[in-house]
Amino acid sequence: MPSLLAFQFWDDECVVYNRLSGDTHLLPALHAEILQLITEGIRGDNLIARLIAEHAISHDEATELTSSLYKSYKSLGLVDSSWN
Amino acid sequence: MKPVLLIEFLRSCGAGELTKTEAQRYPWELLIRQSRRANLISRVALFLQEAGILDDIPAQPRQHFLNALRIAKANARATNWEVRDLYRILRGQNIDFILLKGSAYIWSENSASKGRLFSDVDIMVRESSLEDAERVLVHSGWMGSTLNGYDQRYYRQWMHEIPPLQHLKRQTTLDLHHSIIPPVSYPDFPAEKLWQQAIPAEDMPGLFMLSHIDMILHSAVHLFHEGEFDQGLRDLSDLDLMIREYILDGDLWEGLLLRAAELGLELPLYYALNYTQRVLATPVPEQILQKAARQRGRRHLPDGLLDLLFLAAFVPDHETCRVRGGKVARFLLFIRSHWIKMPWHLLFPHLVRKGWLRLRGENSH
Amino acid sequence: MLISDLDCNTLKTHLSGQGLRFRTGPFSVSLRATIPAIARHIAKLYPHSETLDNDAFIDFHITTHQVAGLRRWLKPQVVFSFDGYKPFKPLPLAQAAAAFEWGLNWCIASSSHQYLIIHSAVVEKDGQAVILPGSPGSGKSTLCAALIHRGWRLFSDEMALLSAADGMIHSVPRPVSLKNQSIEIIKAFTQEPVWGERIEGTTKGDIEHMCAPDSSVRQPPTAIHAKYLVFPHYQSGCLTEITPLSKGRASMNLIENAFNFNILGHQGFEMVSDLVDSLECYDFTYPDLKQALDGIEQITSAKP
Repeated sequence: MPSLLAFQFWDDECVVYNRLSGDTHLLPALHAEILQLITEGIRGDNLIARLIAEHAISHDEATELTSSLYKSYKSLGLVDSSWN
Repeated sequence: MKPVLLIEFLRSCGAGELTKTEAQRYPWELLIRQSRRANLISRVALFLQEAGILDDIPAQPRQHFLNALRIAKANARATNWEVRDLYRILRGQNIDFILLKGSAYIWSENSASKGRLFSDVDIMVRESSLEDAERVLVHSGWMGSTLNGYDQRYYRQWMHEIPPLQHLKRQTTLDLHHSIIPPVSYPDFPAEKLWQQAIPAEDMPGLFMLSHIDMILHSAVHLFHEGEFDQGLRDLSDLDLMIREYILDGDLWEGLLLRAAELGLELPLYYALNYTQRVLATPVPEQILQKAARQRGRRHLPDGLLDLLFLAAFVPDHETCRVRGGKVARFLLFIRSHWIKMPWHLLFPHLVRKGWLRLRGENSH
Repeated sequence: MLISDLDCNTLKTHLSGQGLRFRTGPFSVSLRATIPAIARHIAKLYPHSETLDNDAFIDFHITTHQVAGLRRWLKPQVVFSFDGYKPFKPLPLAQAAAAFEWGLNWCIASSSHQYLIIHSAVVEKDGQAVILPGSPGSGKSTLCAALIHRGWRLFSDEMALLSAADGMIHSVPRPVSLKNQSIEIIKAFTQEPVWGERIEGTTKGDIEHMCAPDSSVRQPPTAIHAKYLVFPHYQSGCLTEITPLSKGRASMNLIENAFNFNILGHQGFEMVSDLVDSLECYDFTYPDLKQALDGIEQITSAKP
């Protein structure tokens, strides 16, 4: 099955297309990367560890960012427990 | 009656004779025009694709079929998204619901989903959860309609559904039912019996489809009782496809008759079998048709007259095939549907009111 | 044979009989109309369109007829119909030509999904095509009307057809529709063009259609790879400003301006991504037509 989300990165931005809803979203590249990781099943501590390793951010920043993004992605229908 | 190209086409699909079509010489333009008018162009395109002859069709008409396939695909995607959204909302309140009509066909990917286009989503909840369902939907972006007091009362008092809801952002219309037939015409319809045989959707507890037989019966009730014949041929084609898929292949003819008797839907079932067989050559065995004719109860109009009306109404309202009196037939069938629904003392003032609104150019339901 | 080769009576006979069959861009149309204003509109504004034989395949069978019944005496109206389907409510008879133009737009946008259809003007010069998407008030049509009288070729005034098959923009050079003050601005700008009749009091205000100059429609090519994407913003009294637009933002804006993005879905997303990838994208704010023309020249010749 093809991925439910399609990503198009340009510089520091990314356009994401949701094949289920048909909606398109413009995200900062970092936020889109996090979304990509979430949809690949990388969550919680693993996700935070990846962010700290690959980007220059602290543990607290990473925790806050991932939890707020997860919430907003859920409300946008970009992630959902029933299809991830 | 003169043969109508679109109807001949659908009959040859049913007979599996499409592959014999001479793709270079067939009158595609006419087929496109009639099927577009009948809202069947995507279904026609899908049949052509399945028969493997789409590629043989000259480029210009082929393009219209390819575009129609795109529309059907987008329509199915949008429908399934609405279903997911409704599931998220209603599941949160533990409200079970059954998908009806087009959305059920598409979600279950049955034969009637083929190239099925529609704009409304129809769901049914138990009457006991109707108020809760309406409340939570309105809270979640499904707006109540702006119908006036008379129309609100008409729905809530006489109908099997509440006034249509509309999604704030996506503009989709949602019909929320608690039964499949208006209480005013069938006061004690046992809707709970539909729930007993409903089929749960995979991995989504609380979401159901009607059983295959009930799906056919509902489709028949909808077509022959609700009086919307603008899409008459499309709806008849749904019935044809589902009868072939669910009944013919499993030889469930007796089960279909029994269930119709159990639910008191013998009359619409008879019409469904009779007219699918006559218009679209659905292979209904002769003794089944006779049995269905015997068990149907009360008739509202003589068969001869109904034949005249229905057969005219199933011909697409297109200038290349329109039958004389087609518009009148559709109008009379519309009146008939209200006649079945309502007792005379209620019907008469209702129609007068509708007629008056129509003269003033206002839209009523 | 072109529509301009038909004499007035032949044209009317076709329109009131079996239908006038002609090509506009990649589409073939059969039009039936007994309303005289439609005949005049077609003769004046579609002279370059090629007429078609009776055995040619027709994409859109269209009628624009006067609404029958008692009302025709009190309040004459016109109704547009596409194979019997009527997408709009009847309009006042005086708006018949507008009903035809809007109706044909509707036919194309609702059924031609071999293209991603973007609400936009497209003009071309020396092989360089500019896409000018237009939200209302952006001045897209005014700008387009002026450009095609300054050496640019009209690809389209109302819709950019981005082909799913080849990623190119296909030309559909129909009349340019101008509204309200834009009409006077363009009439002051050039004496050259042929105009249709003024249509007053439509939902979009007063409208006049302008026929594109010969030089701007006759020669090939009919499809081209676009090079620039410019979002025009008219703002009276402002300073001209040319701002590079990020590709992400440009994609979102294009999608917002597409009529059928929801139909093309994932494929549409890939088409937009490929297109935007190959374009230079700008936001362009301008105070008047002269500055607008200079700005477009600046964008397409030197680097701003």
